[in-house]
Amino acid sequence: MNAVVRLMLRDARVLNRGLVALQLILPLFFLFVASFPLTSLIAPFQVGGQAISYQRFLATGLIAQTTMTGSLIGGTLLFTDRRHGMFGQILVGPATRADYATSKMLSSAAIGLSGAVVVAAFGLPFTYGVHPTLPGAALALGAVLAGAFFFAGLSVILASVFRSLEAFEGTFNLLLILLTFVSSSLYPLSAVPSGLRGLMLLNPLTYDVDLLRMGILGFGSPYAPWEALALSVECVLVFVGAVAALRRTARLEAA
Amino acid sequence: MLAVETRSLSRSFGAVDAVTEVTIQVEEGEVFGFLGPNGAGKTTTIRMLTTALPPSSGEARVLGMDVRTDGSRLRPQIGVVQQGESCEFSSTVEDAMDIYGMLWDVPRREREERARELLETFQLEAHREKRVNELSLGLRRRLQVAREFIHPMRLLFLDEPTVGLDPMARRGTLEMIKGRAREGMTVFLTTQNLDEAERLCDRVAVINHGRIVTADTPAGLKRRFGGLRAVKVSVESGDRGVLAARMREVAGVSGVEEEPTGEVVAWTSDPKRAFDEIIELEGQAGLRFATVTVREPSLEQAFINLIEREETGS
Repeated sequence: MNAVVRLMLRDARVLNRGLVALQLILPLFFLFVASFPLTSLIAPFQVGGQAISYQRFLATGLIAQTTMTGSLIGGTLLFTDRRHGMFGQILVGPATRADYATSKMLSSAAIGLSGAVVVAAFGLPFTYGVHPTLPGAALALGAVLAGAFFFAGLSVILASVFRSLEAFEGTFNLLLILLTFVSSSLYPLSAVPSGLRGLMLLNPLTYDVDLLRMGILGFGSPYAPWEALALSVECVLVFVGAVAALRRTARLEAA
Repeated sequence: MLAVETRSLSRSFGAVDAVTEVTIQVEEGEVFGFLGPNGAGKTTTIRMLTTALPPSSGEARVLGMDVRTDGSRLRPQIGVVQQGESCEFSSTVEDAMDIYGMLWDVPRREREERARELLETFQLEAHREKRVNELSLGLRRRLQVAREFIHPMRLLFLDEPTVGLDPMARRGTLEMIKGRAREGMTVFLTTQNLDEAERLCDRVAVINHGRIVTADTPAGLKRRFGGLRAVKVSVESGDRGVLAARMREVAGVSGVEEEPTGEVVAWTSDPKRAFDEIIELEGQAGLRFATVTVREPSLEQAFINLIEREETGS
Protein backbone atom coordinates (compact mmCIF):
# COMPACT_ATOMS: atom_id res chain seq x y z
CA MET A 1 0.00 0.00 0.00
CA ASN A 2 1.26 3.46 -0.87
CA ALA A 3 2.73 5.49 2.03
CA VAL A 4 0.39 8.44 1.41
CA VAL A 5 -2.64 6.14 1.57
CA ARG A 6 -1.37 4.51 4.77
CA LEU A 7 -0.86 7.91 6.35
CA MET A 8 -4.35 8.98 5.29
CA LEU A 9 -5.86 5.80 6.75
CA ARG A 10 -4.06 6.60 9.98
CA ASP A 11 -5.47 10.13 9.92
CA ALA A 12 -8.96 8.69 9.52
CA ARG A 13 -8.41 6.45 12.57
CA VAL A 14 -6.97 9.08 14.89
CA LEU A 15 -9.17 11.97 13.76
CA ASN A 16 -11.26 13.74 16.38
CA ARG A 17 -14.66 12.97 14.85
CA GLY A 18 -16.47 15.19 17.33
CA LEU A 19 -14.55 18.19 16.05
CA VAL A 20 -15.40 17.29 12.47
CA ALA A 21 -19.11 16.96 13.31
CA LEU A 22 -18.98 20.28 15.12
CA GLN A 23 -17.95 22.11 11.94
CA LEU A 24 -21.36 21.31 10.47
CA ILE A 25 -23.37 22.99 13.20
CA LEU A 26 -22.82 26.58 12.08
CA PRO A 27 -23.66 26.12 8.39
CA LEU A 28 -26.69 23.99 9.21
CA PHE A 29 -27.79 26.61 11.72
CA PHE A 30 -27.52 29.27 9.02
CA LEU A 31 -29.45 27.09 6.58
CA PHE A 32 -32.29 26.00 8.79
CA VAL A 33 -32.58 28.81 11.33
CA ALA A 34 -31.04 32.09 10.21
CA SER A 35 -31.81 31.82 6.51
CA PHE A 36 -35.60 31.91 7.00
CA PRO A 37 -35.90 35.23 8.84
CA LEU A 38 -33.06 36.71 6.76
CA THR A 39 -34.81 35.70 3.54
CA SER A 40 -38.02 37.30 4.71
CA LEU A 41 -36.10 40.52 5.43
CA ILE A 42 -33.99 40.49 2.26
CA ALA A 43 -35.98 40.71 -0.95
CA PRO A 44 -34.72 38.68 -3.93
CA PHE A 45 -31.84 40.61 -5.41
CA GLN A 46 -30.10 40.84 -8.76
CA VAL A 47 -26.81 39.04 -9.27
CA GLY A 48 -25.32 38.53 -12.72
CA GLY A 49 -28.59 39.64 -14.33
CA GLN A 50 -30.68 37.15 -12.32
CA ALA A 51 -33.04 37.67 -9.41
CA ILE A 52 -32.14 35.30 -6.61
CA SER A 53 -33.53 34.58 -3.14
CA TYR A 54 -31.16 35.00 -0.23
CA GLN A 55 -31.69 31.38 0.84
CA ARG A 56 -30.52 30.11 -2.54
CA PHE A 57 -27.57 32.48 -2.51
CA LEU A 58 -26.64 31.50 1.04
CA ALA A 59 -26.92 27.72 0.48
CA THR A 60 -24.18 27.74 -2.16
CA GLY A 61 -22.04 30.06 -0.06
CA LEU A 62 -22.29 27.72 2.91
CA ILE A 63 -21.06 24.74 0.87
CA ALA A 64 -17.85 26.61 0.06
CA GLN A 65 -17.58 27.93 3.59
CA THR A 66 -17.92 24.42 5.06
CA THR A 67 -15.23 23.17 2.69
CA MET A 68 -12.93 25.85 4.05
CA THR A 69 -13.72 25.17 7.72
CA GLY A 70 -13.31 21.42 7.37
CA SER A 71 -10.06 21.71 5.47
CA LEU A 72 -8.64 24.09 8.03
CA ILE A 73 -9.68 21.72 10.81
CA GLY A 74 -7.44 19.18 9.09
CA GLY A 75 -4.52 21.25 10.36
CA THR A 76 -5.28 20.02 13.84
CA LEU A 77 -4.17 16.56 12.67
CA LEU A 78 -0.68 17.88 12.07
CA PHE A 79 -0.68 19.99 15.20
CA THR A 80 -1.71 16.96 17.27
CA ASP A 81 1.04 14.88 15.67
CA ARG A 82 3.56 17.51 16.69
CA ARG A 83 2.27 17.75 20.25
CA HIS A 84 2.21 14.00 20.72
CA GLY A 85 5.59 13.32 19.15
CA MET A 86 4.18 11.33 16.22
CA PHE A 87 5.39 13.89 13.69
CA GLY A 88 9.03 13.24 14.53
CA GLN A 89 8.40 9.49 14.82
CA ILE A 90 6.71 9.19 11.43
CA LEU A 91 9.50 11.13 9.75
CA VAL A 92 12.05 8.53 10.83
CA GLY A 93 9.76 5.81 9.47
CA PRO A 94 9.23 4.64 5.92
CA ALA A 95 7.28 7.71 4.73
CA THR A 96 9.07 10.71 3.23
CA ARG A 97 8.39 14.31 4.23
CA ALA A 98 6.64 14.83 0.89
CA ASP A 99 4.43 11.76 1.60
CA TYR A 100 3.55 13.20 4.97
CA ALA A 101 2.79 16.69 3.59
CA THR A 102 0.70 15.23 0.77
CA SER A 103 -1.23 12.96 3.11
CA LYS A 104 -1.98 15.80 5.51
CA MET A 105 -3.22 18.00 2.70
CA LEU A 106 -5.35 15.24 1.22
CA SER A 107 -6.75 14.24 4.62
CA SER A 108 -7.58 17.85 5.40
CA ALA A 109 -9.15 18.33 2.00
CA ALA A 110 -11.15 15.12 2.49
CA ILE A 111 -12.51 16.44 5.79
CA GLY A 112 -13.51 19.67 4.06
CA LEU A 113 -15.11 17.79 1.18
CA SER A 114 -17.03 15.44 3.46
CA GLY A 115 -18.46 18.46 5.29
CA ALA A 116 -19.32 20.07 1.97
CA VAL A 117 -21.17 16.92 0.88
CA VAL A 118 -23.31 16.98 4.03
CA VAL A 119 -24.11 20.69 3.70
CA ALA A 120 -24.78 20.25 0.00
CA ALA A 121 -27.21 17.41 0.77
CA PHE A 122 -29.20 19.81 2.96
CA GLY A 123 -28.49 23.02 1.07
CA LEU A 124 -28.94 22.09 -2.57
CA PRO A 125 -32.72 21.49 -2.20
CA PHE A 126 -32.87 25.27 -1.67
CA THR A 127 -31.70 25.61 -5.27
CA TYR A 128 -34.74 23.62 -6.47
CA GLY A 129 -35.64 24.56 -10.02
CA VAL A 130 -32.08 25.31 -11.05
CA HIS A 131 -30.71 22.87 -13.62
CA PRO A 132 -26.94 23.12 -13.80
CA THR A 133 -25.25 22.07 -17.01
CA LEU A 134 -22.58 19.35 -17.09
CA PRO A 135 -19.78 21.92 -17.52
CA GLY A 136 -21.41 23.91 -14.70
CA ALA A 137 -21.41 20.89 -12.38
CA ALA A 138 -17.79 20.18 -13.31
CA LEU A 139 -16.89 23.79 -12.54
CA ALA A 140 -18.66 23.59 -9.15
CA LEU A 141 -16.90 20.35 -8.32
CA GLY A 142 -13.56 21.77 -9.44
CA ALA A 143 -14.13 24.86 -7.30
CA VAL A 144 -14.91 22.79 -4.22
CA LEU A 145 -11.89 20.54 -4.79
CA ALA A 146 -9.54 23.46 -5.40
CA GLY A 147 -10.91 25.28 -2.37
CA ALA A 148 -10.50 22.21 -0.20
CA PHE A 149 -6.94 21.74 -1.41
CA PHE A 150 -6.04 25.39 -0.92
CA PHE A 151 -7.40 25.60 2.62
CA ALA A 152 -5.89 22.22 3.49
CA GLY A 153 -2.49 23.60 2.46
CA LEU A 154 -3.10 26.71 4.49
CA SER A 155 -3.98 24.58 7.51
CA VAL A 156 -0.74 22.61 7.15
CA ILE A 157 1.25 25.85 7.02
CA LEU A 158 -0.55 27.20 10.10
CA ALA A 159 -0.09 23.97 12.05
CA SER A 160 3.59 23.93 11.09
CA VAL A 161 4.27 27.49 12.16
CA PHE A 162 2.74 27.59 15.63
CA ARG A 163 4.30 25.92 18.64
CA SER A 164 1.69 26.66 21.26
CA LEU A 165 -1.83 25.28 21.12
CA GLU A 166 -3.28 28.59 22.31
CA ALA A 167 -1.61 30.57 19.53
CA PHE A 168 -2.66 27.99 16.94
CA GLU A 169 -6.30 27.91 18.07
CA GLY A 170 -6.51 31.69 18.47
CA THR A 171 -5.15 32.34 15.00
CA PHE A 172 -7.26 29.55 13.54
CA ASN A 173 -10.51 31.01 14.97
CA LEU A 174 -9.64 34.56 13.93
CA LEU A 175 -8.79 33.40 10.44
CA LEU A 176 -12.09 31.52 10.15
CA ILE A 177 -14.06 34.63 11.08
CA LEU A 178 -12.07 36.89 8.77
CA LEU A 179 -12.20 34.53 5.81
CA THR A 180 -15.93 33.89 6.27
CA PHE A 181 -17.08 37.47 6.68
CA VAL A 182 -14.65 39.13 4.28
CA SER A 183 -15.82 36.95 1.40
CA SER A 184 -18.81 36.66 -0.87
CA SER A 185 -20.08 33.53 0.89
CA LEU A 186 -22.76 35.37 2.92
CA TYR A 187 -23.39 38.44 0.73
CA PRO A 188 -22.68 39.39 -2.88
CA LEU A 189 -19.68 41.48 -3.82
CA SER A 190 -22.01 44.08 -5.33
CA ALA A 191 -23.58 44.72 -1.91
CA VAL A 192 -20.42 45.88 -0.20
CA PRO A 193 -18.51 49.17 -0.38
CA SER A 194 -15.70 49.22 -2.92
CA GLY A 195 -12.94 49.27 -0.29
CA LEU A 196 -14.26 46.15 1.36
CA ARG A 197 -14.83 44.58 -2.05
CA GLY A 198 -11.11 44.96 -2.72
CA LEU A 199 -10.36 43.07 0.48
CA MET A 200 -12.89 40.37 -0.39
CA LEU A 201 -11.18 39.91 -3.73
CA LEU A 202 -7.99 39.04 -1.91
CA ASN A 203 -9.74 36.20 -0.13
CA PRO A 204 -9.50 32.81 -1.85
CA LEU A 205 -12.86 31.84 -0.33
CA THR A 206 -14.41 34.54 -2.52
CA TYR A 207 -12.97 32.90 -5.66
CA ASP A 208 -14.09 29.53 -4.45
CA VAL A 209 -17.66 30.57 -3.70
CA ASP A 210 -18.00 32.66 -6.87
CA LEU A 211 -16.92 29.75 -9.03
CA LEU A 212 -19.20 27.38 -7.16
CA ARG A 213 -22.17 29.68 -7.72
CA MET A 214 -21.28 30.04 -11.35
CA GLY A 215 -21.27 26.27 -11.70
CA ILE A 216 -24.49 25.59 -9.79
CA LEU A 217 -26.60 28.71 -10.30
CA GLY A 218 -25.24 29.77 -13.66
CA PHE A 219 -24.03 33.21 -12.66
CA GLY A 220 -20.98 34.54 -10.98
CA SER A 221 -18.66 37.38 -10.52
CA PRO A 222 -17.36 39.26 -13.57
CA TYR A 223 -13.93 38.44 -12.19
CA ALA A 224 -14.58 34.68 -12.41
CA PRO A 225 -11.90 33.77 -15.02
CA TRP A 226 -9.32 35.68 -13.02
CA GLU A 227 -10.56 34.08 -9.85
CA ALA A 228 -10.17 30.62 -11.37
CA LEU A 229 -6.64 31.45 -12.40
CA ALA A 230 -5.80 32.94 -9.01
CA LEU A 231 -7.22 29.93 -7.15
CA SER A 232 -5.19 27.52 -9.31
CA VAL A 233 -1.99 29.47 -8.79
CA GLU A 234 -2.66 29.74 -5.07
CA CYS A 235 -3.20 25.98 -4.82
CA VAL A 236 0.23 25.38 -6.29
CA LEU A 237 1.83 28.04 -4.09
CA VAL A 238 0.21 26.74 -0.95
CA PHE A 239 1.36 23.18 -1.68
CA VAL A 240 4.93 24.35 -2.13
CA GLY A 241 4.57 26.46 1.01
CA ALA A 242 3.17 23.53 3.00
CA VAL A 243 6.03 21.21 2.01
CA ALA A 244 8.56 23.93 2.85
CA ALA A 245 6.88 24.65 6.19
CA LEU A 246 6.88 20.96 7.07
CA ARG A 247 10.53 20.57 6.15
CA ARG A 248 11.39 23.55 8.32
CA THR A 249 9.33 22.22 11.21
CA ALA A 250 10.90 18.78 10.92
CA ARG A 251 14.35 20.36 11.04
CA LEU A 252 13.50 22.54 14.01
CA GLU A 253 11.91 19.72 15.97
CA ALA A 254 14.83 17.39 15.37
CA ALA A 255 17.29 20.03 16.55
CA MET B 1 29.62 -5.26 6.50
CA LEU B 2 29.40 -2.26 8.77
CA ALA B 3 25.91 -1.36 9.98
CA VAL B 4 26.96 2.13 11.03
CA GLU B 5 30.02 3.98 9.88
CA THR B 6 30.70 7.64 10.58
CA ARG B 7 33.70 9.71 9.73
CA SER B 8 34.23 13.09 11.40
CA LEU B 9 30.47 13.46 11.79
CA SER B 10 29.63 16.87 13.23
CA ARG B 11 26.55 18.90 13.97
CA SER B 12 26.38 22.48 15.18
CA PHE B 13 23.43 24.60 16.26
CA GLY B 14 24.56 28.16 15.68
CA ALA B 15 27.68 28.63 17.73
CA VAL B 16 27.09 25.46 19.73
CA ASP B 17 28.93 22.34 18.58
CA ALA B 18 26.64 19.51 19.69
CA VAL B 19 28.61 16.73 17.99
CA THR B 20 32.21 17.12 16.87
CA GLU B 21 34.10 14.82 14.51
CA VAL B 22 32.49 11.61 15.69
CA THR B 23 34.02 8.56 14.04
CA ILE B 24 32.49 5.20 14.95
CA GLN B 25 32.02 1.83 13.36
CA VAL B 26 29.34 -0.66 14.31
CA GLU B 27 29.47 -4.17 12.88
CA GLU B 28 26.31 -5.79 11.58
CA GLY B 29 24.72 -7.95 14.29
CA GLU B 30 26.44 -6.05 17.06
CA VAL B 31 24.75 -4.50 20.10
CA PHE B 32 26.47 -1.16 20.35
CA GLY B 33 26.08 1.10 23.37
CA PHE B 34 26.49 4.83 23.04
CA LEU B 35 27.14 6.23 26.48
CA GLY B 36 27.65 9.71 27.78
CA PRO B 37 26.47 12.21 30.35
CA ASN B 38 23.37 14.36 29.74
CA GLY B 39 23.87 16.75 26.83
CA ALA B 40 26.92 14.88 25.56
CA GLY B 41 25.57 14.57 22.00
CA LYS B 42 24.06 11.05 22.05
CA THR B 43 20.59 12.04 20.85
CA THR B 44 21.91 14.45 18.22
CA THR B 45 24.09 11.65 16.83
CA ILE B 46 21.12 9.27 16.72
CA ARG B 47 19.02 11.93 14.99
CA MET B 48 21.66 12.30 12.31
CA LEU B 49 21.99 8.55 11.87
CA THR B 50 18.21 8.16 11.54
CA THR B 51 18.05 10.99 8.96
CA ALA B 52 15.97 13.26 11.19
CA LEU B 53 18.72 15.85 11.26
CA PRO B 54 21.26 16.56 8.51
CA PRO B 55 24.90 16.60 9.63
CA SER B 56 26.75 19.92 9.45
CA SER B 57 29.84 18.11 8.17
CA GLY B 58 31.45 14.70 7.98
CA GLU B 59 30.05 11.45 6.66
CA ALA B 60 27.64 8.86 7.98
CA ARG B 61 26.61 5.62 6.33
CA VAL B 62 23.98 3.40 7.87
CA LEU B 63 23.51 -0.08 6.39
CA GLY B 64 25.80 1.13 3.61
CA MET B 65 23.58 4.10 2.78
CA ASP B 66 24.42 7.76 3.04
CA VAL B 67 22.17 9.41 5.63
CA ARG B 68 22.15 12.63 3.60
CA THR B 69 21.05 11.25 0.26
CA ASP B 70 19.56 7.78 0.85
CA GLY B 71 17.08 8.55 3.62
CA SER B 72 14.01 7.19 1.86
CA ARG B 73 15.83 3.89 1.11
CA LEU B 74 17.33 3.64 4.56
CA ARG B 75 14.38 4.41 6.83
CA PRO B 76 12.27 1.36 5.87
CA GLN B 77 15.14 -0.83 7.12
CA ILE B 78 15.60 0.70 10.54
CA GLY B 79 13.54 1.07 13.69
CA VAL B 80 13.77 4.05 16.01
CA VAL B 81 12.66 4.38 19.61
CA GLN B 82 13.09 8.05 20.28
CA GLN B 83 13.87 9.51 23.65
CA GLY B 84 10.83 11.79 23.59
CA GLU B 85 7.33 10.50 23.95
CA SER B 86 5.39 9.68 20.79
CA CYS B 87 1.99 8.05 20.97
CA GLU B 88 -1.45 8.00 19.38
CA PHE B 89 -3.07 9.49 22.45
CA SER B 90 -6.67 9.26 21.26
CA SER B 91 -6.48 5.57 20.26
CA THR B 92 -6.69 2.45 22.37
CA VAL B 93 -3.46 0.57 23.06
CA GLU B 94 -4.46 -2.16 20.63
CA ASP B 95 -5.36 0.35 17.93
CA ALA B 96 -2.19 2.35 18.46
CA MET B 97 -0.18 -0.82 17.94
CA ASP B 98 -2.17 -1.73 14.83
CA ILE B 99 -1.90 1.77 13.37
CA TYR B 100 1.86 1.71 13.84
CA GLY B 101 2.07 -1.64 12.06
CA MET B 102 -0.08 -0.28 9.25
CA LEU B 103 2.24 2.71 8.84
CA TRP B 104 5.03 0.21 8.27
CA ASP B 105 2.89 -1.68 5.76
CA VAL B 106 2.89 -4.85 7.84
CA PRO B 107 0.09 -7.09 6.46
CA ARG B 108 -3.01 -7.06 8.66
CA ARG B 109 -2.87 -10.69 9.80
CA GLU B 110 0.83 -10.46 10.59
CA ARG B 111 0.48 -7.26 12.56
CA GLU B 112 -2.45 -8.65 14.54
CA GLU B 113 -0.36 -11.66 15.47
CA ARG B 114 2.71 -9.56 16.28
CA ALA B 115 0.64 -7.10 18.32
CA ARG B 116 -0.77 -9.95 20.39
CA GLU B 117 2.72 -11.28 21.11
CA LEU B 118 4.13 -7.86 21.92
CA LEU B 119 1.27 -6.88 24.21
CA GLU B 120 1.94 -10.10 26.08
CA THR B 121 5.73 -9.72 26.18
CA PHE B 122 5.52 -6.13 27.37
CA GLN B 123 2.69 -6.92 29.77
CA LEU B 124 0.26 -4.56 28.14
CA GLU B 125 -2.51 -7.08 27.61
CA ALA B 126 -4.54 -5.84 30.56
CA HIS B 127 -4.48 -2.36 29.05
CA ARG B 128 -5.24 -3.26 25.44
CA GLU B 129 -8.66 -1.60 25.39
CA LYS B 130 -7.64 1.47 27.35
CA ARG B 131 -7.06 4.75 25.58
CA VAL B 132 -3.40 5.70 25.44
CA ASN B 133 -4.11 9.02 27.19
CA GLU B 134 -5.41 7.05 30.18
CA LEU B 135 -2.09 5.22 30.64
CA SER B 136 0.66 6.24 33.03
CA LEU B 137 3.86 7.64 31.57
CA GLY B 138 5.64 4.32 32.19
CA LEU B 139 2.97 2.33 30.36
CA ARG B 140 3.05 4.74 27.45
CA ARG B 141 6.82 4.31 27.26
CA ARG B 142 6.32 0.55 27.31
CA LEU B 143 3.91 0.83 24.40
CA GLN B 144 6.31 3.07 22.51
CA VAL B 145 9.09 0.52 22.84
CA ALA B 146 6.84 -2.47 22.18
CA ARG B 147 5.32 -1.17 18.95
CA GLU B 148 8.76 -0.72 17.36
CA PHE B 149 9.12 -4.50 17.24
CA ILE B 150 5.98 -4.88 15.13
CA HIS B 151 7.84 -4.30 11.87
CA PRO B 152 10.87 -6.05 10.40
CA MET B 153 14.15 -4.16 10.53
CA ARG B 154 17.88 -4.72 10.20
CA LEU B 155 18.98 -2.06 12.65
CA LEU B 156 17.26 -0.68 15.71
CA PHE B 157 18.14 2.65 17.28
CA LEU B 158 17.06 2.97 20.89
CA ASP B 159 17.47 6.30 22.64
CA GLU B 160 17.26 5.56 26.37
CA PRO B 161 14.54 2.96 25.90
CA THR B 162 14.14 1.90 29.51
CA VAL B 163 13.70 5.33 31.09
CA GLY B 164 10.47 5.30 33.07
CA LEU B 165 10.01 1.52 32.83
CA ASP B 166 9.43 -0.59 35.90
CA PRO B 167 11.85 -3.52 36.52
CA MET B 168 9.53 -6.09 34.91
CA ALA B 169 9.04 -4.03 31.78
CA ARG B 170 12.74 -3.26 31.69
CA ARG B 171 13.52 -6.94 31.81
CA GLY B 172 11.01 -7.63 29.03
CA THR B 173 12.56 -4.91 26.90
CA LEU B 174 16.10 -6.14 27.44
CA GLU B 175 15.08 -9.73 26.70
CA MET B 176 13.39 -8.60 23.51
CA ILE B 177 16.47 -6.65 22.42
CA LYS B 178 18.76 -9.58 23.24
CA GLY B 179 16.51 -12.00 21.41
CA ARG B 180 16.39 -9.88 18.28
CA ALA B 181 20.14 -9.31 18.46
CA ARG B 182 20.66 -13.10 18.59
CA GLU B 183 18.62 -13.32 15.39
CA GLY B 184 21.14 -10.97 13.75
CA MET B 185 19.58 -7.56 14.17
CA THR B 186 22.02 -4.73 14.90
CA VAL B 187 21.20 -2.57 17.90
CA PHE B 188 22.46 0.96 18.50
CA LEU B 189 21.54 1.95 22.02
CA THR B 190 21.96 4.93 24.27
CA THR B 191 21.34 4.50 27.96
CA GLN B 192 22.15 6.10 31.29
CA ASN B 193 21.76 2.72 32.93
CA LEU B 194 25.27 1.30 32.73
CA ASP B 195 24.30 -1.99 34.27
CA GLU B 196 21.99 -2.42 31.32
CA ALA B 197 24.75 -1.47 28.88
CA GLU B 198 27.11 -3.95 30.53
CA ARG B 199 24.62 -6.78 30.24
CA LEU B 200 23.52 -5.98 26.72
CA CYS B 201 26.32 -4.43 24.69
CA ASP B 202 29.09 -6.12 22.74
CA ARG B 203 30.89 -2.80 22.50
CA VAL B 204 30.37 0.68 23.83
CA ALA B 205 31.56 4.15 22.88
CA VAL B 206 31.67 7.01 25.34
CA ILE B 207 30.88 10.52 24.14
CA ASN B 208 31.46 13.67 26.16
CA HIS B 209 30.99 17.28 25.06
CA GLY B 210 30.17 16.01 21.58
CA ARG B 211 33.43 14.10 21.11
CA ILE B 212 34.11 10.39 21.28
CA VAL B 213 36.31 9.73 24.28
CA THR B 214 36.84 6.01 23.79
CA ALA B 215 35.29 2.87 22.33
CA ASP B 216 35.84 -0.63 23.65
CA THR B 217 34.11 -3.72 24.96
CA PRO B 218 32.53 -3.26 28.40
CA ALA B 219 35.23 -5.56 29.82
CA GLY B 220 37.97 -3.57 28.11
CA LEU B 221 36.55 -0.32 29.39
CA LYS B 222 36.41 -1.68 32.93
CA ARG B 223 39.96 -2.97 32.64
CA ARG B 224 41.27 0.34 31.36
CA PHE B 225 39.26 2.77 33.43
CA GLY B 226 37.77 0.74 36.26
CA GLY B 227 40.47 1.78 38.72
CA LEU B 228 41.06 -0.30 41.84
CA ARG B 229 39.65 -3.81 42.26
CA ALA B 230 38.31 -5.10 45.53
CA VAL B 231 39.43 -8.35 47.14
CA LYS B 232 36.70 -9.26 49.64
CA VAL B 233 37.19 -11.68 52.48
CA SER B 234 34.30 -13.13 54.40
CA VAL B 235 35.66 -14.26 57.79
CA GLU B 236 34.41 -17.53 59.29
CA SER B 237 36.43 -17.23 62.51
CA GLY B 238 39.17 -15.03 63.89
CA ASP B 239 39.67 -11.36 64.58
CA ARG B 240 38.62 -9.14 61.69
CA GLY B 241 40.78 -6.31 63.03
CA VAL B 242 43.87 -8.50 62.86
CA LEU B 243 42.98 -9.55 59.31
CA ALA B 244 42.52 -5.93 58.26
CA ALA B 245 45.92 -5.02 59.67
CA ARG B 246 47.63 -7.95 57.89
CA MET B 247 45.87 -7.09 54.61
CA ARG B 248 47.18 -3.53 54.79
CA GLU B 249 50.70 -4.98 54.68
CA VAL B 250 50.07 -6.89 51.43
CA ALA B 251 51.99 -5.43 48.48
CA GLY B 252 49.85 -3.34 46.10
CA VAL B 253 46.98 -2.88 48.54
CA SER B 254 46.17 0.79 48.81
CA GLY B 255 43.37 0.61 51.37
CA VAL B 256 41.38 -1.77 53.55
CA GLU B 257 37.82 -1.39 54.85
CA GLU B 258 35.79 -3.40 57.31
CA GLU B 259 32.27 -3.47 55.93
CA PRO B 260 29.12 -3.58 58.06
CA THR B 261 28.29 -6.92 56.43
CA GLY B 262 31.30 -8.40 58.23
CA GLU B 263 33.49 -8.60 55.15
CA VAL B 264 36.96 -7.11 54.96
CA VAL B 265 37.77 -5.45 51.64
CA ALA B 266 41.20 -4.66 50.27
CA TRP B 267 41.55 -2.19 47.36
CA THR B 268 44.30 -2.95 44.88
CA SER B 269 45.47 -2.29 41.37
CA ASP B 270 46.94 -5.82 41.19
CA PRO B 271 44.11 -8.11 42.24
CA LYS B 272 45.81 -11.38 41.22
CA ARG B 273 48.84 -10.82 43.40
CA ALA B 274 46.78 -9.43 46.30
CA PHE B 275 44.40 -12.40 46.09
CA ASP B 276 47.31 -14.90 46.27
CA GLU B 277 48.88 -13.17 49.26
CA ILE B 278 45.60 -12.72 51.13
CA ILE B 279 44.79 -16.43 50.72
CA GLU B 280 48.07 -17.18 52.50
CA LEU B 281 46.88 -15.22 55.53
CA GLU B 282 44.37 -17.99 56.31
CA GLY B 283 45.56 -20.04 59.24
CA GLN B 284 47.62 -17.18 60.65
CA ALA B 285 46.43 -15.76 64.01
CA GLY B 286 43.52 -18.21 64.03
CA LEU B 287 41.94 -16.74 60.92
CA ARG B 288 39.54 -18.93 58.89
CA PHE B 289 37.95 -17.59 55.72
CA ALA B 290 34.49 -18.48 54.41
CA THR B 291 35.08 -16.93 50.98
CA VAL B 292 37.63 -14.77 49.21
CA THR B 293 36.44 -13.03 46.05
CA VAL B 294 37.76 -10.47 43.64
CA ARG B 295 35.13 -7.95 42.69
CA GLU B 296 35.54 -6.47 39.23
CA PRO B 297 34.85 -2.76 38.91
CA SER B 298 31.48 -2.00 37.37
CA LEU B 299 31.10 -0.35 33.99
CA GLU B 300 29.49 2.49 35.91
CA GLN B 301 32.68 3.00 37.91
CA ALA B 302 34.78 2.87 34.75
CA PHE B 303 32.43 5.39 33.10
CA ILE B 304 32.60 7.76 36.08
CA ASN B 305 36.39 7.51 36.24
CA LEU B 306 36.66 8.15 32.52
CA ILE B 307 34.35 11.17 32.52
CA GLU B 308 36.01 12.62 35.64
CA ARG B 309 39.38 12.20 34.01
CA GLU B 310 38.08 13.96 30.90
CA GLU B 311 36.61 16.81 32.90
CA THR B 312 39.71 17.39 35.00
CA GLY B 313 42.06 16.72 32.09
CA SER B 314 44.15 14.34 34.19
